[in-house]
Amino acid sequence: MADAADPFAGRLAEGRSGGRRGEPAIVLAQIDPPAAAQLQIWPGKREAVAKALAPIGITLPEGRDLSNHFGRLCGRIAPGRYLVLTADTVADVAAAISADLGAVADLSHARAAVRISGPAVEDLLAKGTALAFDADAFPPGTLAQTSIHHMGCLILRRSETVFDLFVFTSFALSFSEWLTDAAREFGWRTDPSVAIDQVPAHSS
Amino acid sequence: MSGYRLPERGALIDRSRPVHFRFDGRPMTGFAGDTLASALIASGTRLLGRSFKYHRPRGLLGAGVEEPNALVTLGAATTREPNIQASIIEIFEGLRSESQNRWPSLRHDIMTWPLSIVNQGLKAGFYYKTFMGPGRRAWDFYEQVIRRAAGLGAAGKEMDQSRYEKTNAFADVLVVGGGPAGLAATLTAGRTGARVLVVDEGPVLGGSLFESRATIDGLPAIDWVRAAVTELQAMTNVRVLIRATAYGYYDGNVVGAVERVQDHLAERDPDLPRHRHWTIHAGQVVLTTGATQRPLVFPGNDLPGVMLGSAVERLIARYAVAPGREAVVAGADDSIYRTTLALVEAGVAVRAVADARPSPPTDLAAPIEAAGVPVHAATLLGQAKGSKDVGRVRLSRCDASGRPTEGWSETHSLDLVAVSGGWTPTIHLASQAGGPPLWSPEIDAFVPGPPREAWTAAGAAAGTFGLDAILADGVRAACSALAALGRPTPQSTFAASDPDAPQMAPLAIRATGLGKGADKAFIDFQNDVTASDVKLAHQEGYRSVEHLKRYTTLGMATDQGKTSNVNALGLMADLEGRPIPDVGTTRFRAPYTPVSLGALAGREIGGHFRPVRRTAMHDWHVAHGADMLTTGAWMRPRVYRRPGESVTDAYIREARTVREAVGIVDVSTLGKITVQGPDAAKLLDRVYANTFSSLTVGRARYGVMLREDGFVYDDGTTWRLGENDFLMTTTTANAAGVLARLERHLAVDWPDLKVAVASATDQWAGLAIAGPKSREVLRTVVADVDLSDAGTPFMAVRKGRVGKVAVLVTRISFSGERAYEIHCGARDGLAVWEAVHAAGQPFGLVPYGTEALGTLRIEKGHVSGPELDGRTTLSDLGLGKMASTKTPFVGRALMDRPAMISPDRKVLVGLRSLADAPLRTGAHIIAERMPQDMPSLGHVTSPTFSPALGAYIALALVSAGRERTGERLTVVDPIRNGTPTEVEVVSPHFFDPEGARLHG
Repeated sequence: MADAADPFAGRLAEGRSGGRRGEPAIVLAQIDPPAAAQLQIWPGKREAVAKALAPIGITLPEGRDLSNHFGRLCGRIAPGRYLVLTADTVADVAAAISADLGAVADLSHARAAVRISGPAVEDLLAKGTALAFDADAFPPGTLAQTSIHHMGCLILRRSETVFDLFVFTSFALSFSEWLTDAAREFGWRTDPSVAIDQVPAHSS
Repeated sequence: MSGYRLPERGALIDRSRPVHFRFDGRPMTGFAGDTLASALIASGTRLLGRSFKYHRPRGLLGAGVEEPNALVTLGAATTREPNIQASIIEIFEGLRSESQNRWPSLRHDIMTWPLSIVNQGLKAGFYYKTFMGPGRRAWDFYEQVIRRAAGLGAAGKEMDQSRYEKTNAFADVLVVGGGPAGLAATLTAGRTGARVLVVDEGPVLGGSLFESRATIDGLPAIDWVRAAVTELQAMTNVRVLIRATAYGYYDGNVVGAVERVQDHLAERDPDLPRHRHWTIHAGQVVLTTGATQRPLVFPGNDLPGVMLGSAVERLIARYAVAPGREAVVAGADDSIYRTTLALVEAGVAVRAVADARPSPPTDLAAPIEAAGVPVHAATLLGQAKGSKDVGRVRLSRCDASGRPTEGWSETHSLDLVAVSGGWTPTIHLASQAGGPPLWSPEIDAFVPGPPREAWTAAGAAAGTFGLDAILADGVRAACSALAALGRPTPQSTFAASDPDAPQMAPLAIRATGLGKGADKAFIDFQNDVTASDVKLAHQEGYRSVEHLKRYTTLGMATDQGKTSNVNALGLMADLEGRPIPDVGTTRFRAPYTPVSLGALAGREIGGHFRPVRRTAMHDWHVAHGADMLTTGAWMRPRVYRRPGESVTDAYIREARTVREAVGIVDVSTLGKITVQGPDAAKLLDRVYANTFSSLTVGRARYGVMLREDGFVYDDGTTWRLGENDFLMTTTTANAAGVLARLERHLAVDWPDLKVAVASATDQWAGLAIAGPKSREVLRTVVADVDLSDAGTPFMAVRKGRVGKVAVLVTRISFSGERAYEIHCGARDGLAVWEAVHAAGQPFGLVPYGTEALGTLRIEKGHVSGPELDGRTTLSDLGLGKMASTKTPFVGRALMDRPAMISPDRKVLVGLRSLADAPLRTGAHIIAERMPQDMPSLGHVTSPTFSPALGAYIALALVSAGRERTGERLTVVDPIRNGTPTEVEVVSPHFFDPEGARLHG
């Protein structure tokens, strides 16, 4: 039986499909569930929060950028609202933010994540979401929030050809079904799972 | 045998690859690259279909998407597809095609003869006049007969198993149509580095250049096309989509296109879609959609062998097919000379060229006359005759405005007539995304009106003719698109030298040779609408274009009037004595050509129709025999069926076990929202009807939310985990809606509140453990919590552990029994569930599903979704006393409007069946047995069999129901043929109304 704590219930543990045209053009790898927290900053407190977060290695990014400080990622998902993703813990984030600065909600169990890469990765994503994926419109190191096949999805572009996709945990299986179905024409295989702070090996 | 394959030419066919296919069961052979139409005509088959209404024999009229006649059914069983134009289907090995609307065969269609007798009666409006109207019920009978006699192909009955997909594309410039203007635009924009997407409905780019005798930049047109395609394919910023039809133009510069990925292949790849729908998001759109040639309207103009000149040229140039041996060419524009030359060069004997204009262009006519073909000026095609195909035509003279005159006439025996009634720019997309089309008398056609979206039309689509001008127009359109995008515009020119360049304006010619005894002259071939039908419509007052269309069915069905609209309008304008723009304009809506429904659905079919949400315990439920049910997006166990149990047996057993011992249910699907910040309690006071600021840390409270209009919206418990930290729970169905309301309040209504909200539904897995033995079970499995009534009283929230997993334990009851909920991080949900399940076995613990959950809450009179239906108030539900009288809350201002406090409102009551018969959701409640003229007093909302009471019971909403306690009423369900059932009105708190068991 699959690992109970695996939101994909083993469906992405190993697999392969297609590849009729040689090496599969899509590689899937589960991301070890990272610790995650949503940080809301009260109006006027951004600088104070930035100062409070500096000692624990979290930088508040601008715009759609994804800040990455030794593998602790932070992206802005709404005005004054940030998502922190890190391989270790978000307890220190909650501890760093006092009630007069903002609020921190631990969402470490609320997201499932998968890394997709390969030469056909943009064509694969285009099937699910109406976003332009050329590097000008969506450069590496930025994020987008969208929906794919009726499932809310947070997309981090880690490099030209590597994307990390986050969905609600309860949608993990449905999402993996969509992903492997949409990838059929390109051929896909799975790699061993990776950690969120693992820097993509290649960026072509 | 009129058509035959030419020894040379054929830009699109591969003579080294013969292809075998079937037409009406007969084995046929063509070449790779042939269309079904070209292969059939090459093999001498020119009878391709029977007409819609009169079953007249029909051949090919056009050679592209404008073709109205040659509709066939392809495939069989799961791949069967009717009404496909033979002119666009590329043949492949093993293709099966069948003609339509004929019986027993295409050649011998028995409907032809009776219809030729009665067809005088089948004019426009015949069915309405004959069968419909006051007192005429005949239509009900005749409709069956008529539908069998008339029509197009029949759809298959088996499910289409093909794969369809959808995708998105983004482009700075979208070019629709890859003919000369489109290629010029694509090259111009592509060379600047802009992201360009060019879409063409054909299998190759090039469009009319295949038929061109011109040179471009010193290259023969075909070679220039090949060079252009090679150059475009090398550009990484340019994407070429072939076999893709841009069918619709939508707001926000979005264009819908369908790519036929595999329809032309004999061996289909199961991993590839058959069709792929493209949603194209374009910065600017260049519409180079070309133009469609119109037929001439004269008696017998629908005989097989009468074809558009453009179709004749295409058959010769692209497929090396001569559609006849002896021909006449007729029309009133310069294109007839190029058609004639193509025929002459292909070796077809052209007997005459009839140009309706008084003095034909000498430069174009000279080479034809030099080839020995007589060119007749001021000459019309009077009529065509033949039995199953065209056999002879009569030419006659006309005046300078194209009207027939008496005198000279000449008859030719032949098997091919090539006609041109002028050119209609293809303005469908422009019309969908623009103002009304504009009439251009110079070209006798409509051109695009003002754009509403960011597009530029160019080339023939914009009414520009002549290759040099078309290429220049493509460049202009690309430059204007680039300029609008703020990009530099390049210097770009393409020099064409075209011996067939038009020299003289066309002459508008309308229907000719009409009159008593003449054969039918068709305007709309697909719908069998004739010139006399238009005249009849005019006589009867249907003179507006919109009335004309509906009265005669002109311009309907699959071709949407591509060849007929302008001819019909022109004739109506003549009859009215008014110019065409005064009579009306033709507008278009999507789709330009038919779109497969599969392409619109994509992969959202079957199990992929909607994604589902699964809890952490999903696989456990399935492994333990649960019937899984989707409730909203969530998959939930309905019952855990044991061998031999029905659903009813199972839920009764499960509910009974909870009342007698203990059970667990997966409540992970409950909506959960974190509400944090110094003003969190203030927010809760405002969104709930009852107060939360008084709630102490470590306690939970039941709350009800109203909508602004005062009706109940949602309910649930909210737990205070810390001074500034609440966890709100909502119903499973309303989780997203409640979060959106909170976000809106914080962003718009009360931006001063320091509160953060986040969806935490997926953060937590949860189980409820209920029953008199629930505490005993928990004592063996939960650590760090004092489970005594003093340590964990009703509505307490405690932090503890199950094994190593941190959990929240809340003492909450939906069932009325002593009960607890245990929540933990979602990924630990299964481990905690299994631990509790194992710990409960010595106590007889069973898992229970949503059916038992429902039964237990109905027995207690707890409201849920069926009662929170958006029409009930707090007091309807017996919750009126909850509303705070001190603090204002959402819905407070409107909850006491007169109608909402009226004494006859439908309020929550219990019903107990007196007949040992189940009650059904939605059944109505009346005072007497007979349902006639009885007002409904209300309806059943939540019925069940109560194992605790041993009776069928239900919650219901009944008018002034509380005053009816003890009355006997009748539940009726006439729509579903339910038996009327007598019930007694009782308190909704059926079981343990004092709540003693909560503490038992």
